[in-house]
Order: sequence, then C-alpha cells, then structure tokens
Amino acid sequence: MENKNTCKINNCIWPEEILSALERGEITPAEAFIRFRQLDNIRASSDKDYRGNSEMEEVLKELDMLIGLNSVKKLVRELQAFVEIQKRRQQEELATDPLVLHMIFKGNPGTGKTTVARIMGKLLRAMGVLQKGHLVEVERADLVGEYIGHTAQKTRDQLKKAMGGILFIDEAYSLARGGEKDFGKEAIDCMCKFMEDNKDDIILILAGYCDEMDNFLRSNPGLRSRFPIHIDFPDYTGAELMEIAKLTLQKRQYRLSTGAESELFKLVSVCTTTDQPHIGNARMVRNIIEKSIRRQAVRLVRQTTLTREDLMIIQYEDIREVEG
Amino acid sequence: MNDCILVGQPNVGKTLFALQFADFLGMRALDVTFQASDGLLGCKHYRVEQAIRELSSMERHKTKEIQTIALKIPTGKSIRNIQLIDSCGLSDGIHPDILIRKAMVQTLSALRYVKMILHMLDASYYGRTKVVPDIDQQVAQYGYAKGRYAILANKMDLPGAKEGLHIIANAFPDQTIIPVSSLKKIGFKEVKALVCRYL
Repeated sequence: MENKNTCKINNCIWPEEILSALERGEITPAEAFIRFRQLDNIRASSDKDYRGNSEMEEVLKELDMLIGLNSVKKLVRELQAFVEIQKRRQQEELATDPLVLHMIFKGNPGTGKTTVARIMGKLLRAMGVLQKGHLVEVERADLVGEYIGHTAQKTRDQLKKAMGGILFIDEAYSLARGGEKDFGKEAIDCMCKFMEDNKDDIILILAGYCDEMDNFLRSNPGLRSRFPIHIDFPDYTGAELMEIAKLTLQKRQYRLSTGAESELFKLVSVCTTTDQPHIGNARMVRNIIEKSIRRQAVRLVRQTTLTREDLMIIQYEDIREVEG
Repeated sequence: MNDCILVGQPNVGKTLFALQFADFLGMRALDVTFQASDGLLGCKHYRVEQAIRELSSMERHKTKEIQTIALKIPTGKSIRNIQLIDSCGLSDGIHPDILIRKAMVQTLSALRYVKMILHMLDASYYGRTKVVPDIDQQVAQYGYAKGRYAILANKMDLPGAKEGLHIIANAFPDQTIIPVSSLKKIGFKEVKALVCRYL
C-alpha cells in the first residue's frame, strides 16, 4: 500500500496533489517537502543567477529610458516573459515551444530599430538565450558578392561573426532587389539554411522601411514563417521628439532657451506633419542638435566675456540658423 | 506583499515569538487575521498581553490555522509594513487528526508563496535529545533552496539550550542561525535587522 502511494506521489505534477496527499494522510510533511523540492527543481541561487538577474534589470531599465516606443517596449517585455516561462517550464519538464526569436523590424529611419536590437541582444544574453548577445550590423553590400559563389561565402562569414549574438540586416528588402539573377537571393537562401542549422545560437533581425519590407516578405513567403516576430516602429510624435532633443542636450550639458525651444518645436512639427516620412524622427533631431551646438560655438567664439550659462544655453538664433 | 512565515515543530514557541516580537516593536495592540482551512477569514483586535494569553499555550498544536499579524517595523524615519504569518506546527510522521493535517497543508501551501521563511527550532530539545528531526532537515533544505531563510534557535533561556545551539550549528552549517528566547525577548534585535534586510 505504501509503495503504491509513494509511486502515486512521485508521479504528481501539481503542488496541489502533494498537498491533498498530505491532507489524506498518505505522506508525512517531510515527504511533502522532498516532493516539493523535486517538483520545483529549485536549488540555491548561485552568484551567476544573481548576476544574470541584475544584468537583466539594468537592460530593462535601459529600455524604459527610451522615449516613446510604448508598443515596442510592451512587446520586448512580453518576449522576456515568454522566454522566462519557457525556461521555467523546461525545468519542470513540461512541454515547451521551441524558441524561435528571429525578428522583423519595420519602421522609418531614426525610429530606434538599431537601438532596440542592441538592447534585445543584451537582454537575451542576460537571460541566457544567447551566449554573447553582441550585435553585428550588416547591409546588402556586406552579404552580396560580385561573382558566383562569392555571396554564400560572404554571407556565411557574417553569420559566423554573429554566432552567439544577433545579425542585424539593415534595409534587408534590398536583398530581393534586382530580380531573379541577382545574388541577393543567394544570400537569403544561405541565411535560411544557416538559421535552420544553428537555430539555438543566433538570432536574425531583418530591418527596413514598412512598405518595402512588406513587399519583400510577400515576394519570399518562406521568410514570413521563419521570422515569427514582427515589430512595427511607429514615427515619433512632435512631443516625443522634443523630449528626445531635451534629453540629448541634457546629456551633453546644454539647455534650450525658451525661444529656442519654441523654434525647435516649430521645426519638428513641420517635419512630422509633412508627407515625407523619411525625414522625421530621432536621427533628424540629433542632427539639428549637433548643428545648433556648432552654431552656438560660432556665435560665442567672437565674444570676449562668457558666463557658464552662456556656454550652456542654445539660443533661438542657433536653431533658426539650422533651419535656414 | 512583504510576508514572512514562522514555521517549525509544534510547541517550539512560534506564536509566543510572533506576539512578543510585536511587543518588542512597540505595538500595544494587534490585528490578527485567522484563515481557516476552508478559506474562511476572520480578524480580531487584541492587546498584546491578551493575545499572548489567548493564542499561545504550553500544549502542542494550539495554532490550528494560519494567523497573520500585521507588523509595523520602524526603520529610521519610515515604517515598514510586514505580514508575519504564524503557522500550525509541522511534526514528523502522519498526524492522526484530520484537522491538524489540514492545518499543516495550510502551512505548506503558505510556505510556497511567502518571501521570507523563519524556521524556529527548540534549542533546549536539541540539547536534551541530541537528535535532528527529519522534518527540521527537510524544512531547512527547502528554505535554503528557496532563499531568504533563517533559523531561529528558540528557548535559549532554558537549560541545555547552549549545547542544543551547538548541535543545530553543526547540523545546519550553511544557514543563518539566530539564538532567541521568545519568553525573555533575547535576539529580537537581530531578527528585526534580518527581516528588514530580506524584505
């Protein structure tokens, strides 16, 4: 009878079953603890685990520091939770889905695709999914060769460089440009093969403009299923761009005067409301800031007496001249 | 929720410790929430001395349900709110009384979800018998694996407790052990510091 009970207890997979057995008087509290330990597969947290956790917190903090991108942040957190739970399920010997984390990033330039990819690398490394978590940034020219056989070799070299991390292919749609005879297709085939063979140790991210990427995926139906995670990077709003500008200036110990702030807002609003989506976004703001800092330097270099504040404040005319 | 459970064998002094600890923290009155094994909740307001009189006893298994005491621990200029969960004692073997078994289930179930575990041992019993009961070993292993776990070697005011403490230290070399006396309020300062560090 006792053997039968022990056997039954050993097979239970829910903590509630152990508690019920204890309540029915089939096992002692001490036996219940043994079963709990087996079930939880818990062990003393080693230093490595602690380091991993604190590293992950740091990375998530870095992600939260990014301005806007709320939908992207939510998705990254979802992915983090999914990976974590899959790992826990694996520990508990429950059925797990394979972790296919290849991604497609769609968005205009300067919407934070590369920044998020870099954070993603660090996050997956902290979670133990990737060994190194580094980001190798490539474009068409780095993958496509000039003669037959050259492409496969170049692509494989880049993929090997990215092993244990992320291969980030910017403007990936350009690989399908040029029709049937173009070597870009060979690069895609080589990538797919490599992904299948090394699916646990590399993550590929294809990035590019929204429309072009949609066309690219339509022309290569196999790619859509191989890249299950699609993240859209929306354009920043005027207010978000202003925040980015202020943060960038703050980091460099500059400040906008009231006049400069309203002038910059005007400039940013014009860019975000025009029909040219490619000129907007964070990179543009950064460029405006760079230029205005140079303009400020030119304005100040002629002055003989300068206060600490003069050196820090970007005035209205500094921004206006950028506009011009 | 900052919750800390007190576990241990019956009659090691868990309830008395919880109430005396509240007294040590300067609380004159307590709100004790009782949770029956069928999930029914009840709350009662006590003065500390009244709670000691009514809730603790020299008999085994006086506590037959989860009793949660809301503690306010003053730390510097702020006050930290902590739920101290007093539980039914866990004994070796299968207890014949279904009510006690149900209460033990409650203890184990609570143990899985709390943030911190204080495992109370009777140091004088260890000194007398020189035996390490299986249940204490299992709780210690489980608690150590879960983290934020410490052993309170109670009844340090009784004869043989010092020897018992030595046996406990040898039996659980990796654990944090704090010698305490629920009755004489010995070691409470150290327990407070540990609770503040863990929660």
